[in-house]
Amino acid sequence: MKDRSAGRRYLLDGITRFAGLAISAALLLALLLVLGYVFLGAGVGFNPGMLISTGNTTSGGLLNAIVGTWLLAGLALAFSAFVGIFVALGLTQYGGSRTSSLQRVAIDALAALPSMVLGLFGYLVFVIYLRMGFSLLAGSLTLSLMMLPYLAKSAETAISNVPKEFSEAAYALGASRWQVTTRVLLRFAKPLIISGALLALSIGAGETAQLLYTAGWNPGFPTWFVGSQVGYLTYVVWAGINQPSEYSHALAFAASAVLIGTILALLAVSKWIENKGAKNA
Amino acid sequence: MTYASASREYEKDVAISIRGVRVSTSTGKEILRGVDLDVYPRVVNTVVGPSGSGKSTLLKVLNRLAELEGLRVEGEVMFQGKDLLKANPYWVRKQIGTVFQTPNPFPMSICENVAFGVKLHWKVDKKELDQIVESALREVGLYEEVKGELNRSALTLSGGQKQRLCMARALAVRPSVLLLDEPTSSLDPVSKRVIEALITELKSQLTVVLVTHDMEQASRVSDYVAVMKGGLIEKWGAADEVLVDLNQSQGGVAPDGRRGIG
Amino acid sequence: MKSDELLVKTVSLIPFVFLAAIFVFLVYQAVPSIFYNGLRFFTSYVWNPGMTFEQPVKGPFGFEASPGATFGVLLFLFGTLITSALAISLVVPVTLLTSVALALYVPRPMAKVISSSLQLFAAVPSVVYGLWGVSFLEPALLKYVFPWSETALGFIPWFRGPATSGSGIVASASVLVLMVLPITSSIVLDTFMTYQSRLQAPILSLGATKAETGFVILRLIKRQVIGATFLGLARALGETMAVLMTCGGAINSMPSSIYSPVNTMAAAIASLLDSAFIDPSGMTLSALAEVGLLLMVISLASSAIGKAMTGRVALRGEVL
Repeated sequence: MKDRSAGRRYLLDGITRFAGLAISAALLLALLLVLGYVFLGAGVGFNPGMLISTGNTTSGGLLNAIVGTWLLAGLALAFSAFVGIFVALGLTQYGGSRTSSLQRVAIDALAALPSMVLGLFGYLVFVIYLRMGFSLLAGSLTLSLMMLPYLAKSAETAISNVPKEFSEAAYALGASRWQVTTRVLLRFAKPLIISGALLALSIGAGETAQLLYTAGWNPGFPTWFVGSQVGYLTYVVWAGINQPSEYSHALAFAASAVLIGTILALLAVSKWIENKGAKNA
Repeated sequence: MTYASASREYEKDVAISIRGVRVSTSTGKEILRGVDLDVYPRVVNTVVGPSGSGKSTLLKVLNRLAELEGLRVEGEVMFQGKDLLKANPYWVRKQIGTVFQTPNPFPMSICENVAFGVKLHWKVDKKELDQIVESALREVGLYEEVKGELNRSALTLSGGQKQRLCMARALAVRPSVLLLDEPTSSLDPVSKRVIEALITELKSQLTVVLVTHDMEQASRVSDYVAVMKGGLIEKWGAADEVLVDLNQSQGGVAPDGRRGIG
Repeated sequence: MKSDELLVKTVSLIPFVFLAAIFVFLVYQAVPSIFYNGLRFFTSYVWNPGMTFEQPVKGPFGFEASPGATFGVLLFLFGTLITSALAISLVVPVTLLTSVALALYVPRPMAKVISSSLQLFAAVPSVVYGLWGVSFLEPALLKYVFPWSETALGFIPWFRGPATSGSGIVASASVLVLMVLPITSSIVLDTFMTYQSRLQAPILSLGATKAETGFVILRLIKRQVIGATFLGLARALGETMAVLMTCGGAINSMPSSIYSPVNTMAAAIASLLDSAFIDPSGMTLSALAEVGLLLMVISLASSAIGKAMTGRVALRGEVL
C-alpha cells in the first residue's frame, strides 16, 4: 500500500482554493462592471427633466414610459394575483390529489415557457383574434401569464405556512371553509403573499418580449385599456440604444437606471415584508 | 482541580497533554476557560459533565474542527512531540479519528464508507481494499451482519449498525487516537452495550477519549474520568474513585453497591 | 358543489386553459407553414418571405404564400443551440468552483455577500444586459479580445476571423452566461450547503483536505448539478432581448467563424414579427409560429428534465 503524496493533495487544495476565490472575486467584479457601467452611463447623460416629461425614444423624457411600466406590471399583477391565489387555494384547501398534481404540472409548464413565445401568443390571441389591438389590456394579460406561476407558488407557500392550529380553531368554532379561508388563512398569509407579489412585480417591470407586440408604444399616456397603445421603460432601453443619436442613448441609460433602481427597491421592500412577517409569526 | 488520591499507579507515558486551552466564540463568549488534562494511551479516558460544560468542544479542539466553526482556540496540546494546535490540521485529523453523536454514514454503500478514508491517504488496489474493509468491519463486529451485502447503501442500516459503521470508517484510517462524542446517546440500550463492549476492546490498540453524559455508561467503561463544568475540569482521576465521589455527593449508589450519604 | 368551491375550482382551471390555448393557437397558426415548408423548414437556413407586394400564390396542399417564399429555421436553431451551449459550458465550471469556494474557503460573512450578489445578477432586466452588451462589451471585444484571439487561436479554423464586429456568437453567449448563472448557482450552492452541513465534519475528521471534501460533495450532488444545468439551459434557450441586441441579427447566412453574426429562434421572432404584418398571405406569421412552436418544445423539454432532477422550476432568474 503506497502513500498518496500529501504534497500533491495539498497542492490540489491550494489550487482549488485560489481558483475558487479568483472566480468569486471575478463574479463580484462582473456585477460591478454591469451595474456600474449602467449607472455611470445614466449619470453622464442625465437631466432631471427626463423624469417629469413624456417623450418618444428620440426626444423628451421618460414619464410616459414610467407610468406605462407601472400600469402594465400593476394590471398584470392584479390578474395573476387573483388567479394565483385561487390556484393556491385549490392546491391547499379545496384540492383533490388528482387535480393537484395536474395543476402543478400546468403551473410549471407555464413557468417554463420562453417569454417570446408568450409574446407571440399574446399577439395572436389578444391583439389579433380578440381584437384588442396594441393596448394596455393585451400587454398586461400577456405579462400576467408570465407572473402567474410565481404568484401561485408564493401564495401556496404563504398559505401552507399559516399554522394549522389557527384554521383548526376556526373550524371548531363552526366556520365554513370559505370563512376560514378568507378570515384566517388569507389574513395571516398576507405578508408572504404581498412579498411574493412585489417580487413578481419587479420581474414584470423588467420584461420586454411579452410586450413588444402587445403593448405597442405611446409617446403619451394610454387613454383606455383597449384601443390605445402603451409606452414602457424597457422599450425605451431597446429602441433608444438602437438609435444613432446621443440623446436617445442617454434616454436608454436613464431608463435602465430607473428600471434597476425600481427593481432593487421592490426587492428590498419584498424582503423586508417577508422578514417582518416571519418575526411576527 | 482536585486529584482523587490514587490507589493504583498512573501510567507513565501521556498520549495527549492538554494545557491551558481556552476556546471562545467569535462574539467573545467563552466555552473553555483554561483546560488542563492528560490523556493516557491504552485506556478509556472519559469526560463527563452537564450539557453546555464544553465537553464536545474539547473534542473539537483535539480534532481541529473547532476552528472550522469559527471558534477561537488558545493554548497548547502536545501530541506525538508536536503542539497539535499549530501542526498541519490534515495530519492531525488523520492521526485522531472521530465518531460523532448522531451516526452520519455517507450516502454511499457500506463498503465505500469504510474505504473512503483509506482511499484518501493511500493508493490501494481492489484486493487490498477489500481486505482492509473486511478487517475494519470485523473489528466493530459488523462483518458477519453485512457480509453478503457490502454494496448495500449504508443508509439502510439500523442506528446501532450505522454507528458501528462510522467507527469502522474511522478505524480504517488507523488513527492513534479515537474520539467518541456521546456515541450512544441516540441509540437503543442493546446497541449501547454493544458499542461499549467495542470501546473496551479498542482501548488496547489506541488511545480512547470518550465524552458522555450518561454516568452509568461512564462507570461501566472508563479507566480515567474527568469531570467538566463551566468550561473547566473540576475533578480528574481514576474512574472508580471519581465516580464514587460524584455518586456519594449526589446521594446515588456507587457501582460496588455502597450507598452515598447525600 | 357549494358556490365557493365552484369559484375556486373554476378559477383554478385558468392556467390549464391558457396553457392549452397557447399550444392550440401556436399549432393552429403554424399549420400552413408546416405543410408549405415541410421538412425543408428544418434543413434550410434560407428565410425568404417572398415578394410580399405581389398577390399570394398557392403552394403545396393549397396553402398560400407570397411568390418565391421559403422559410427555414436552421440558422435560428443553430444559433440558439450554439450560444446556449457556449454559455452553459462556462456557467457549469464557474458554478461548481464558486459553490466549493463559497462553502469551504470563503469566510462566512463574505460568502453571504457574494451569494446575495449572485442573485443580483437576476435582478437586471434582459434589455439592460443587451444595452451593456451593445455599448460596453461589443466594443471591448472588438478592440481587445478579438485581435488577440485572431492571432493566438487563429490556427483553429473557427477562430480565424476576420472579426469585423463585436456582435455575434461571443457577445450573445457572454450575456447569456450572466443571466443563467444565478439560476444554476443558487440551486447548486443550496444543495451543496445542505449536504455540507451533514457531511463536512465526518469527511474532514478522516483527514481529507477541503478540496477533497468539496469534490466528494459535488460527486454526491451530481444529479442536482445536471438538473440545475438543464434549468439554466432552458433559460438560455428562451432568452430574447439581450441576445437580440448582441447577436448581430444574421439572416440567410450561417456563421462561418466565432466572430460571425448569428440569430436565435427567440430573437428571430422578435425581429421578424413586424415583417409578418406586411405579408398578405400570412405565411410569414405562420412560419414564425412554427419557430415559436419549436422553441416552446425544446424549452419545455429542457425544463422538464431539469425539474425531474431537481424538483424545482426556474422563472427568469428566480428559482422556485
